[in-house]
Amino acid sequence: MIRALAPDEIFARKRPRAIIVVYVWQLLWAILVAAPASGWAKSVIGGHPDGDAALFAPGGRFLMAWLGGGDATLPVVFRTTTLLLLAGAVLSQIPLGILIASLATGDGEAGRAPKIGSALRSAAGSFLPLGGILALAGSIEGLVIAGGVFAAGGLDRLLSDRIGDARSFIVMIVVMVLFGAVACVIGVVADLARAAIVRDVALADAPSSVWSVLARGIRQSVRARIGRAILEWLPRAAIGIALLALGALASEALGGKGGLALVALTIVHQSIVALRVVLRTSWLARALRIVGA
Amino acid sequence: MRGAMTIMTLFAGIALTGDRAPVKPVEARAAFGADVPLLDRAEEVVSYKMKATLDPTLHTVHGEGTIQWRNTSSRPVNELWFHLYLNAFKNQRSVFMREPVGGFRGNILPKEWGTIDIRSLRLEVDRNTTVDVWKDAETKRPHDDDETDVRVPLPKPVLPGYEITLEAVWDDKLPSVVERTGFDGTFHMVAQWFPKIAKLESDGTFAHFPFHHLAEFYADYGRYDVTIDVPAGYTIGATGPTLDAAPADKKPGRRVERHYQNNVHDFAWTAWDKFESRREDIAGVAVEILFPPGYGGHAERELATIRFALPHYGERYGKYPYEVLTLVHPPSTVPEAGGMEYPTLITTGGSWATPNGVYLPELVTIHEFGHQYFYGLIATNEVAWPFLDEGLNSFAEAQAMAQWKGKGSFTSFLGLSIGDAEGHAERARHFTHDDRVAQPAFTFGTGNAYGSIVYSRTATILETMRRVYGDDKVGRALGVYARRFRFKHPTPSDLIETFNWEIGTEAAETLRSALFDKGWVDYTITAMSSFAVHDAAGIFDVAGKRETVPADKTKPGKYEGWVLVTRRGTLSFPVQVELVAADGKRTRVDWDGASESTRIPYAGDSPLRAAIVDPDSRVLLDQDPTNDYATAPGQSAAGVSRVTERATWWAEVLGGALGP
Repeated sequence: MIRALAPDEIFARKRPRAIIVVYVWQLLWAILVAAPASGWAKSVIGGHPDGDAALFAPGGRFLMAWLGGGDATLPVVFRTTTLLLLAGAVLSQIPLGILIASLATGDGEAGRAPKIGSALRSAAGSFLPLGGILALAGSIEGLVIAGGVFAAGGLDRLLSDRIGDARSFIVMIVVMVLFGAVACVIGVVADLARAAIVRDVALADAPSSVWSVLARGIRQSVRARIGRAILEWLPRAAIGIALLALGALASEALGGKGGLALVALTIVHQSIVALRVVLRTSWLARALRIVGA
Repeated sequence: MRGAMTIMTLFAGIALTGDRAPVKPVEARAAFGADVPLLDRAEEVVSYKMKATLDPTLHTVHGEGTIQWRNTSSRPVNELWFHLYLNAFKNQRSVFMREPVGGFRGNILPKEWGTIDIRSLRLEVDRNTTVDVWKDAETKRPHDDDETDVRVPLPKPVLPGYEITLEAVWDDKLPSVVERTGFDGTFHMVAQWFPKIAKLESDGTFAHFPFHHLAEFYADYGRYDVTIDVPAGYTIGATGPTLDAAPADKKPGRRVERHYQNNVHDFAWTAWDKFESRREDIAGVAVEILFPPGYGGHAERELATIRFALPHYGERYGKYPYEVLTLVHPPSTVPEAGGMEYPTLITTGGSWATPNGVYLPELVTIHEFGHQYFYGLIATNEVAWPFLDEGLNSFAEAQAMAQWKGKGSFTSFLGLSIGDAEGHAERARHFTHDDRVAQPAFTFGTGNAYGSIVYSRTATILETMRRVYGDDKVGRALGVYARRFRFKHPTPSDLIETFNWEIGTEAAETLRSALFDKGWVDYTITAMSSFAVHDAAGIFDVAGKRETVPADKTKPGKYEGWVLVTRRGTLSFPVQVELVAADGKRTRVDWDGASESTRIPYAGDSPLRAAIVDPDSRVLLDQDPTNDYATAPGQSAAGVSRVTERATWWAEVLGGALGP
């Protein structure tokens, strides 16, 4: 019997299957998104005796010939990849719903993880409201970031002659970081709304309209303890960014090499992606606790 | 346009002469032509003694001074031509503003227009008498409002070897920075600011040009003695060393500096009340860098570049002959003031936030420093033959950056290393068939074509020759050229003849064709085949007996095949072809590249898997590097696992940011 878990029963570590589902989803979709670029590379450089190692060779001659070749493939690849990324963002509301539903609900007294089918039903039911949150939060975040770029650029132009380029540049970066922080807060509130929405849908006896689910989710998120939510989100986000930096360092150290080095790079990158999914799950578990408190 | 017509007729005249001196054996020559004696001074045609007073509020410069000019040609001269290039920014009817060439630089409309107005120009006829020659000046051509190229008739001809003295008074109104010169707030970059006499040619005519959008400059060598008067609190950077600097108490509220330099052909200066500066003695040259507040890190990067460049260029192209070198990093609000060269003064550029692994500041600095040679010391006609300064200098820049920073000489960042020379090659190959390299700046259709052909294609031609013929030969040829024509005004023929003398007819003809005939080349693996070796099938009479050998009797472990390599285009270089067997064994075969194609046989213990022509990427001119290789039919390609891994990782990162 599926039931709502109490806040102190919600733990990411108790839902490894859901974490795997999200990771596998991300991996499969990423392979699909990468396919146009890979295919294009294969058609251009695949015949080289060293394969795509030539693209990473010092000097970058083949890399530039590939990307700067001016053939019609580049815009097609770019558009297809962008469309796939955007489609992936929308479709990923399903695995996100599965993840939150798994975290928010449990089976029986022990609160065992619900079956994937059950979580999938909740995810399907919350797909449209989650899509609404994605569109709403994405738009607001986009506007905030655009405003940040505009304000920072304006300040830079205003100040560069008075305080010098370098200081003005730092002011510009600070302003952009501040606007970025606001966008992050919006993201945190959006996550709280997501948690509330999926939990409501998973536990609802009868289906509600998309709008009422969406409105309830937003209401709950803005009434939640946002300060605490930011404190819970922040360290996980920081670790996530540090992991990305580690991935970039690994790329720099091992990039372009084949054989075992490539295997090692793949393992490092996929471990980072998996760890970021764990961090995300941990944060969503905290978000569920906050909106359920 | 008379100059232009003369130049166009020269195209036909560039050809290799038949009677050439034999090529000296390599071992008898010093590296980079160090055995060629260097002139220590230029033939002095003109000397300017001027005073410039800056009003930084109105952005005006009041100038006055004396110009001494000598007729060094073989004919009497009865007119002078002056370049008043600030008038390029006077209105939208100037040649500069009219020319519809976007895509390079200087494409913004000035917020404030710029002018140079001659108040008087008087010719000294004897010690106490002067006559006004400006009243007869022809400042415009019929039906043309451009006022940058002015003819001044003289009352009587100046005979060969004779000298005249002119006294000039003029006023400049600086434009907001459009290209190279102008002001932004209190920053002032003052170039092309005085009435400058055009270059006198040996036949008594002047190489004079209106200020074209894509063109630079050309002038005679001379002496410049310039006193610059700016408000106190301003820092001055200028051509040549400071002879006197008057302190504020001598002229209250003002800073006055006198700069003097001989053996140069232009004079530029800058003044700003916010400059910070650093000085350092590098290889016996007093180097000063002026930079905006907060750009200390940048200044250090640019000084480090000069620490490498001064001895490097000195070794390859002859010792830098001046006492001083001033680097000016303009404020970021006026990038168009950056990336420019004047004698002993260069302007650099680059964002404050340029990461250390992106060598843009170093590249701009080394490029502009290189112009001290290919423009400053080897004073070619930049309007008629821009490749002789920008092109040769871009080659020198790429060679120097590669020697300093290695293969990632443009950037070495995030696991990718991009070379400057490779960047030039990529940029150039998109314009191969558009325009000749050797043509006047103002005849290029677009700024992109000009930049890609003049800068990048020339650099790629020379880098290809360096890689193919060797650094010893091409380095020496350019070293000899740079030394032989120091303080002179060489033409393309001089460059080609130097290559002919130092490397040989084939190299010189390749250079000529690449420069003048849009010469190009594209090597490609056209076809290949690999098959197991069979005994010949059929009926054979062996030792009186008849034997039948079946068609499927294969010799174990023996494979043969061939690779068809084709050379397209009008140029040819010797190349190597690498054959790669399925067992990983690699074999290189030399091909002289003379014929249009060659079929290279293969024999080995495993099938031929792939082949690549020019595996060391020596022929950077190759039109399409992506057809330089092929995998044999039936063989599996090496694949793109690295790209797939990297693309998947980035898709996961981006997908994670957008999605769950």
